[in-house]
Amino acid sequence: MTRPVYVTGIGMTPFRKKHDVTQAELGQQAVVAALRDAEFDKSKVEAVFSGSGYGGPMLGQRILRDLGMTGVPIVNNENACSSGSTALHLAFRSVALGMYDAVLVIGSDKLSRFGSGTIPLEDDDHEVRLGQIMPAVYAMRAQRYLMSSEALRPIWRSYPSKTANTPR
Amino acid sequence: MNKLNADSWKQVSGDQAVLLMSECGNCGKRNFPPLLYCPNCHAENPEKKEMSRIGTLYSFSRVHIKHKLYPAPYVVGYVDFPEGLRVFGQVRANAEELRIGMKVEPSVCSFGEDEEAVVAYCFVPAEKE
Repeated sequence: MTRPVYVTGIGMTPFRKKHDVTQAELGQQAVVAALRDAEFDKSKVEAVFSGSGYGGPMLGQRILRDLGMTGVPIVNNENACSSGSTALHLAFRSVALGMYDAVLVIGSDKLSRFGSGTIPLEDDDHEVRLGQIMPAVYAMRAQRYLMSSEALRPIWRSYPSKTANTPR
Repeated sequence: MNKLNADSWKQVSGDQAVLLMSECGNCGKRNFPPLLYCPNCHAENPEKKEMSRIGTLYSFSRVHIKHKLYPAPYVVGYVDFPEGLRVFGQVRANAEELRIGMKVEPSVCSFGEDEEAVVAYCFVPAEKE
């Protein structure tokens, strides 16, 4: 048996380069904004789910320690671009199944830490060792799609500036 | 010199390389690269076999971000082989000379210098289409 689950408050920080702020501080800004939006006292939060791709160890604890929100279960999860969605999924289940009445979900990343370039991938993958990067995966998928999709041909034919980058 | 993905290819003659797939003795499932377990039936250490030399370029892209081993730009692609396998690798050619559907073959490419040097399979346009 499940029960309905409601989002009662949200908080978000602006997307920009973040050289002057730690990821924990970014998370704290969003958490405080969400609690205020929900008009929740922090003591109502029974568990926390924190998702991040590159946040490192114990990110949830790093965010919550300085907000005085420890002492409840904190789950940290990594699931690439879906890390925040996964945290939301876990939080939803815990409320829907009646385990908790109020939980906090955090999705955060600070890619400015890498300076520039594409996101680092694990060398234990044989494609990564040969130079695979995520934008190339998407570019190859798009190239193939443009080549095979009859519907798109008239569109890119009519834009000469695009043809230099289209499959032949 | 460090040989990248050494269990998935071998040099045959000159710059020519041949790719190695795993083929399960129990269920026949093929895979590239060769795997520890058959992904279909989990039989251990499926047999390694040589793949066809000529493949068809499925897609490609030129990468403009330098990699720790590879200076930019470099070209990557996916190549379909008659065994029903799609293989990722760098393509040693100008992207302008490539087109989806052309025939390519595995070759041996070296990257970097001195202690950093590595050798890997790569793809080049096939001599006879």
